[in-house]
Amino acid sequence: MHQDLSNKYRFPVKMLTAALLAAVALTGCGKFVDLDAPTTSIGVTEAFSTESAATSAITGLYNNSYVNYIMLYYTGLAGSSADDIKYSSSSTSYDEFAANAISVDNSLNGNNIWGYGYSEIYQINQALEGIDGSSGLSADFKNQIKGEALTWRAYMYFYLVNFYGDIPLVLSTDVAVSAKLPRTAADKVWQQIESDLTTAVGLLQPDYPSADRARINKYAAEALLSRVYLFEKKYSEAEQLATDVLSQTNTYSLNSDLNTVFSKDSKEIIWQIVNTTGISTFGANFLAADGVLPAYVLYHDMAAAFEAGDSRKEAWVGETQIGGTAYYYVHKYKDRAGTGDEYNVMLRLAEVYLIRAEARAEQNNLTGSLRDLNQVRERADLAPLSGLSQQDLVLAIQQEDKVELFGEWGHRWLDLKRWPSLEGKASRADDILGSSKPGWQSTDVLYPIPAAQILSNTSLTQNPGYGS
Amino acid sequence: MILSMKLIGIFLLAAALQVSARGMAQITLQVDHAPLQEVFTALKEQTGYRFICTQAVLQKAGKLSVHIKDASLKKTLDLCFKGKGLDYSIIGQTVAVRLATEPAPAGAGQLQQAEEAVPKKQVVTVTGKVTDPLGYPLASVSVVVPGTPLGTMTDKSGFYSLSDVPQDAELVFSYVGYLEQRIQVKGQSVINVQMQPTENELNETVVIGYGTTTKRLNTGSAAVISDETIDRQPIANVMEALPGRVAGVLVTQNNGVPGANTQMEIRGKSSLNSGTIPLYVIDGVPYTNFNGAQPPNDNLNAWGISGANGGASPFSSINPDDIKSITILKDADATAIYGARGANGVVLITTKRGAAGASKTDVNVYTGMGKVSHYIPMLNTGQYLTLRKEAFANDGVDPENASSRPYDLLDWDQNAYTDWQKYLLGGTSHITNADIAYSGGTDRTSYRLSGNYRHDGTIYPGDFGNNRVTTRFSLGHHSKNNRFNFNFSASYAHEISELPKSDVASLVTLPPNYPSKLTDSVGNLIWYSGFTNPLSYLRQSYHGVTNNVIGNLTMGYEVLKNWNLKLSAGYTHIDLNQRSASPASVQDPSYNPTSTAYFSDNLVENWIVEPTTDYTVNWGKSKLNMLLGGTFQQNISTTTSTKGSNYSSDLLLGSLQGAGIITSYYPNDAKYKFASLFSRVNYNYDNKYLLNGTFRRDASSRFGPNNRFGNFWALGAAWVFTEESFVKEVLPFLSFGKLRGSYGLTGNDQITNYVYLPLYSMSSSSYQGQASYYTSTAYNPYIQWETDKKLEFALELGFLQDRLTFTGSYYRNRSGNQLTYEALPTQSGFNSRTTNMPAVIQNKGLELTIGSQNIKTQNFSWHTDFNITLPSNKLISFPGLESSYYASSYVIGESISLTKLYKYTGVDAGTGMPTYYSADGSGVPNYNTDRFIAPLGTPYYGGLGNDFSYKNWSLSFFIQYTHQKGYTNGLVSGAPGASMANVNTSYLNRWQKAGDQGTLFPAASAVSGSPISAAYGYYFASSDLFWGDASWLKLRTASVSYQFDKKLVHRLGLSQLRLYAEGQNLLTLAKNKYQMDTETTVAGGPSGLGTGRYLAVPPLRTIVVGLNVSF
Repeated sequence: MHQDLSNKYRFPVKMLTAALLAAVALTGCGKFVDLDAPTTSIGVTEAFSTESAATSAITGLYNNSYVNYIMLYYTGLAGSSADDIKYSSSSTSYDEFAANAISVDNSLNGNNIWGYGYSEIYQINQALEGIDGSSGLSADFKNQIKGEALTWRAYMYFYLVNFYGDIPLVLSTDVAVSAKLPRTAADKVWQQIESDLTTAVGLLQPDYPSADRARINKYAAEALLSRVYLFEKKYSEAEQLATDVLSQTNTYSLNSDLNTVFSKDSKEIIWQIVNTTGISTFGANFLAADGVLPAYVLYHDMAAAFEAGDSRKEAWVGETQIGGTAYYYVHKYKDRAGTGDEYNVMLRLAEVYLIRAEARAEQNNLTGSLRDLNQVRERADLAPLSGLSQQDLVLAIQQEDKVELFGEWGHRWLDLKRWPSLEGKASRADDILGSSKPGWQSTDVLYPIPAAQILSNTSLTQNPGYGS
Repeated sequence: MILSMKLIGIFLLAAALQVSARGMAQITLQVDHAPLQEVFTALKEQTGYRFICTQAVLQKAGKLSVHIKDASLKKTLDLCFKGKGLDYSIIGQTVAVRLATEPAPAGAGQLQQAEEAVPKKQVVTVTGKVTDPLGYPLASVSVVVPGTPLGTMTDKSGFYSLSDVPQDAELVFSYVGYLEQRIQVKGQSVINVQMQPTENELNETVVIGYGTTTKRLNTGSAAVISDETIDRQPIANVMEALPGRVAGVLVTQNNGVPGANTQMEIRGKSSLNSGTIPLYVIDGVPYTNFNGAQPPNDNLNAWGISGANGGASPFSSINPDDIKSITILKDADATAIYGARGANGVVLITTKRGAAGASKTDVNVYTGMGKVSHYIPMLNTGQYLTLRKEAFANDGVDPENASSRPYDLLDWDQNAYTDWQKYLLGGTSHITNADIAYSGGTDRTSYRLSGNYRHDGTIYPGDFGNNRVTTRFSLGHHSKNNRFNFNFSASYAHEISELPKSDVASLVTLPPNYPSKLTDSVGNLIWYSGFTNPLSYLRQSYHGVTNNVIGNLTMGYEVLKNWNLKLSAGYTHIDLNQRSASPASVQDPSYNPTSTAYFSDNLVENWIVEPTTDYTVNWGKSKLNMLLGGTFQQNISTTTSTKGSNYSSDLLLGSLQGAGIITSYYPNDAKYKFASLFSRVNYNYDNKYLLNGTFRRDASSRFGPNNRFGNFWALGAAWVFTEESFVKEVLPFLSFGKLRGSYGLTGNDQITNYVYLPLYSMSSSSYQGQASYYTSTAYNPYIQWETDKKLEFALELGFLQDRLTFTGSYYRNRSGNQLTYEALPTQSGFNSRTTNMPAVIQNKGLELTIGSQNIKTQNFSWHTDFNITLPSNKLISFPGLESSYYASSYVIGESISLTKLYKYTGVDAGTGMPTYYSADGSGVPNYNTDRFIAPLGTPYYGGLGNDFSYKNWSLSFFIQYTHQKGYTNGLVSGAPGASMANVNTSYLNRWQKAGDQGTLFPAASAVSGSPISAAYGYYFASSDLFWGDASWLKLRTASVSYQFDKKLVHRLGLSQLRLYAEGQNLLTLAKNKYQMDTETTVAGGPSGLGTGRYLAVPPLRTIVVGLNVSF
C-alpha cells in the first residue's frame, strides 16, 4: 500500500513537469505563428522602409485603377450636370446627372464619385501614415513623397467638397473610426485642403521626381493651391501662387499649337498621369471611330459658345453626323486607340492664367487681369480684349473659362456653382442652368449623399432637396 | 451459475484495454456460511474475474464464512481457501481452483476432479489443440462443459486436456475476440478447434484524435468506414467510396472526369462565407489545408489553371488500396481536440500496416470500363425544327428577316441528325488498376510495401485520361521490453493527367442538325457565328503532373509504467505542374484569337510535429487517462502562373520560349502556421461510466497578434447501461446499450490568409517603369475564429449478442461569430471587409444507423446496414441583417441555402403566354415582394447496404438515396425555341394553339422583345415551375466475388484466390430525368454544385472484373 501511494504522489510531479514544459513550448507558440507578408504582396510598414518600395507605394496613387474612373467620371458627370459635356447614350444613371435630378441611389454617384474618391483617399492616408511611421527614408525623399500624397489628398477633397458640400473628413486608415465619421462642415474641409497644400508646397521641390511631369512637384501643388484660394475668394493669395507658377517660364509656357496642348511633351502641362500605351483615358472615351457616336458629346450650347474666329472650335471640337444629326465632341485629345503620345492632363498652365486673371480682376487690377486673359485668347487666335469694366472683365473671364476648360475635370460645373449670380440668385448656376435645364433647383448644386452610405453610416445626413 | 459465461463481455473488454486488475481490485466480502458458488459470484461481480473448478472442489470447500475489506484478490482467495485443502492459480482473467492434493497442471489450469464426484456415466478424457484461423496456437482459451463445473484452459501451446467428460456432453470454447464454439463430444477423445474471430464491431479499434478507443467506450461521435467497404468499389479517389455510407455526411464527386475533386459536408453548412471543408488527417498528419482561395475549396489547383475536370483533387494521388480505415468525427467531443479547425468535422484516414505473421503478398488486379449511365432525352431534328419554326410563327417573324440568321432553319440540312450527347460523351472509359502489397512481420517488427498502377480513361473522343503510380512503405517496431516503439511510413505518388481544357458536356445543346462535318478538307475547323465547334474544346489540351510525397514517423516511449511519451512528425509535399494550350487554329477566327499557353506550378507543403504525453492511473474499477500534447504545424501553399501568348507557331505551345508576350498572373504565396497545446482527460469507471474532457488552446497565423489564441473545449459522457446488473436482468436480449452526450466548442479559420495584415498588392502594370502598389482589400486586425458550439445526444444499442446494432444521434450545432463580409460605408475606403458577425446558424438533425446480421450460418450469411439522416439548417439570428449585404439573401428562421422564386400561375390558354403572381395584380412580379422562399434542402438522405455470402460466393450492393427539393428540369432557361440550342423532350408539352390547356410550357418564342418573349421575362427561369421534388436513388455499388476453395488454392501455392466483378454508379432513379446526373443538382449541398442546371460529365457507370491473389 505504501509503495502504491508514493507512486501516486510521484505522478502529479511528473505531470507538473510535463505541463511546465508544455507551457514553455506554448509561450513560443505566439512567436511560432508570426508570419511575414507573402511574397506576392508587401506589408505597409515594409513598403516604407526603402525608397524604392516607398516610390512604388506613391506611384500606386497615380496608377491606381480608381484614378482612371475618377478622371473619367468626375469629368463626364460633373460636365453633364453643367452645360459642358454629357453621356451620349440614354442611361438612367447618366441621364439623372444631365437632368440635375440625381436619385439618392444613383449608382454612378454612389460608386464612381463618392466611392472611388474615398478609395483613393484611403490609399493616400495609408501612404501618409507609412511615411510618418518610417525610419529608413532620407528626409529629402520623405518630403517629396509626403508632398505628393498631401497634394493628392487636397485634390480629392477639393472635388468631394465641391460635389457634396459637407463631407466626412477621413484622415486616417482606421476603418473602425472612419466608417463612423459624420459629415464635416465644408469650410473645415477647405481648411484641411489649404493646410495640406500649404504643407506640400513647403515640402516639394521645383524639380519633378520623375520624367514626363508625371508626378507632383512644387508647382503642381502651387497651381492647385491657387485654384483653392480662388474658390475661397482669397484673391491675393491666389494671385501670388499663380504668379509663382507663371514665372517659371523656362519650365511652363502655353503651347502655341492647339493640336498638341495635350501631347505628353507639351510645356503647358503642369501635372499629368502617364499610361503605357500613350492613349489617354480621355481620348479613349471622348473620341470614337468614324461614323460612331462617342461616349460623351458636347451640349449644343457649349458647341455654340465659341466666338467667331476662335481656333479652339476648329482644333478642340469634333463634329460627327449620325443619322442626320450633328453631334459635337471634345477633341482636345487626339489619340483614341492603339498607341499614341498622350497622357491624362491633371493641371495645365492655361488654367493658371485664368485663375490669376480672375484674382486680379476681383482685386480690381484690370490691366494685369486683361494681360493674363489675353494670353489665353491670343493663343486661340482671338483678338485681345481691352477697356472692359470690372464686371465685364469678370464675365469675359467666365466666358474664357468656359471655352478654354470645357470637357476638362468638370471645371464648368464647379465654376458655375461658385460664381455669384447676376440675377440675385444663389449662384451663376441658377442664372445659366436655371434657364437651360428644365426642373433646375438651386439645391442641385450639391449631389445627394448616396443613400446606401447613409444606411450603413447612420450619422450621415442628406443634402437639402433630396428627401431623406 | 458459477461458471457464468455472461461475463464474457467484460472479459473481452478488459483484455482489449489490457487492463490488469490483478492485485488491484479492492474486494470487500461479507459472507457467512455460504457455499463456494456464492463466494465466486460475489467475487466475479467485484473483480470481473471468472472462476472455474470441479464438483469435487465445491464439495471439499463446504460452507465458507469470509469477512474482508479492501483486500486484493490474492489476499481474499488465500483467506477463503486457508485450511480447506484447496489451491488456485490465476491465468489471465480466470481463477482456476483445484484440490491441493493434485499437482498443478503444466502451465495451464487443467483441472482434474475426484473420482467420486463423477456421475455414473460413460466418461472420456478429451484432449486437443486450439488454434487461430492461421493455425497459431491460442493460449488461455477456456474449455468448459456447460451445466457442470467442468472446465480448463489451454496452455501456451494451445493444448488442453479435460477428463471425466460425459460422452454426450458439449464442449464450449471461448476466448476474447473470438466466436464461441460449441462442439458435441460424441465420444471423441481428441477435439481440435480453430477459433474464428468475432465480428463484434463494438470492440473494434476506433481511431480518434491523438489516440484510439473502441466503439464501446467512445464518448464521441465517430463513424468508421473500413477497408472492406473501400476495397469493394472500383474507385480512383477514396472519397468516392463514402457517399451515402455515413449518416450526417454528404459527399459528392464534382464530375466524372478523372482527377475531379470531391466535396464533403459534415452535418450541414455552418458558415455564411468561410469554408466548410473538413479537416483531413492522414495517419495523424493534416493532409490538405485550405489555402485561402475564395470561395473556399481544397482543390490543388485553386490558384492554378484547370482542365476539363475543373479542379484537382488532393486525394486523386492516394491509392485507396493503401487505406485501412476512414473515421469521420462529427461531434464536439470528438472534434474539439482539433480546436480551431474542427468546426467542419474531421476525417481521419489510417493507412494499412503489416501484421505479425509470415510474409504475405497480395495482388489485386482489375480492369473494366465506364460509360455515362443516363443521357438527357433531347428533341430529334424534326421535333426541334418544328419548335423553332413555331417560335418564329408565334412571334410573327419570318426567319429570313430575323436579326441574327437562324442557320438551323435556313442553312443547315433539315434532315440531318446528330445525337451530340452520344457524339461527345458516348465513349467508353477504360480503367485498369493493379495493386501489389507485400507485408508481414515478427512479433516485434512489421512491414508493408505496396505499389499501385491505375489508368482511367475518359468518355471523350480522343486519347485522354489519368495515369497514376503510387508506392507506400510502412514499418513498425517495438523494443523487446515493449517500452519503445516506432511506426514509420512513406509514400510517393506520381499522376499524369491528360485532358481537354474544357468539358465538352456543355455542348450537348448543339442543334441536332448542326452540321456533323466539323472540319474542312484540309482539317481546319468550320465555324458558325455563336457556336463553339466541339473539336475546339477537344483540341485545347490540358496536361497536369502531380507528385505527392507523404512521410510520417511516430515514436513512443514508456518512461514509467502507465506513463508514455510520444512524438509524431509528418511531412506532406504535393506539387502540381500544369500547362494548357489553346492554339489559335482551333479557336473561332472571328475573335482574332492568338495562340496562348498557360503554365502553372502549384506547391503544397505541410509539416507537423506533435509531442504528446499520457498517463494512466488505475484504482479499483476506475481508470483515468490524461493526455497532454502540443502541435507545431506549417503549411506552405504557392502558385506561380504564367501566360504565354502571341506564339509564332502552335508547335511551340509546350514552352514559354516561343511566346511573344509573357505575363505573370494570379500568384499565390501563403504560409499558414499553427501551434497549440491540448489536453484530454478520460475517466472510465468499470467500463460503465465514461467521462471525457478536452481542452485545446490554438494559435493560428490567420489571425492578428491580438486574436491569435483561441480556447476550445468539450465534455463528453457516456453510460454503458447494459453493464448495470438490473438492466441485464430486465433486458436480457439487450447485449449492449450506451447513452452518451457531448457539448463543446470548436472553431473555423477557413478565411483568406493575411486578412489581419495591412498589405499592398502589386498593380498589374507599372508606372513609368516603377512597380506600383495598391490596397485591394481592407485588413481587419480584429478578425478571429468562427465558433461552433456542438451538442449531441446519442443512444447506441446492441441486441442479441450485438447481431443487431442501432445508433441514434441527435445533434445541434450552433455556429456563431460568423466570418463573413460586413458592408462598410465607402468613406472608409472600402465597401466591405472580412469580419466576425454575431449571426448564428443552426444545424440540427437526427441520424439513425442500423447494422444487422440477419443470418449467420456456416454457409450463408446476410448482413444489412442502413442509415438515414434528417437534417435541418436555419439562420437563428443575424443582428443588422436588414442593413447588411445579405438583406435579400437570407431570412431569419430559414435555411442559409435560401432560394427565392416567382410564383408561376400557368399558361394563358388564349395567348400561350406565361403568367405569374404579383401582389398588385399587374401580372408583373416585383423582385422584392413577389418572390417566395422555395422549399429547400434535403429532408432526409442515407444509404442501405446488403452483404450476402453463400459458401464461396459473396454478393453485396449499396443503395444511396436522397430526398431533396430542387430543380426538376435541368436545361430550362427561357422560352422554348428562343435560341439555336437543342432542348429536352419536356418541351414537347407546350402550348401550341389557342385553347391548349394544361401544357407544361407556354408558347414558343424566337424573337427577343416580342410580346411572348417579353412575357417570359427573366421571371420564367426564376419561377417555381421547375422547382420541387428532385429526389433520387442510386445503386452506388454492387459486387460479386468467388473465393476459390482453400485446398485448391493451397495446391497452387497460394493462400487466397478470389475472382470478382464490381460496379459503381450502376443505376439511378431520379425525379429529374432531364439531367445527366442528379448529384450535380444538390441544392443546399456543397457549394459549387447547387445550381441544379450544371452540365458536366456525370460520375460514370463503371463495371470492372478483377482477380485477387494472396501468397
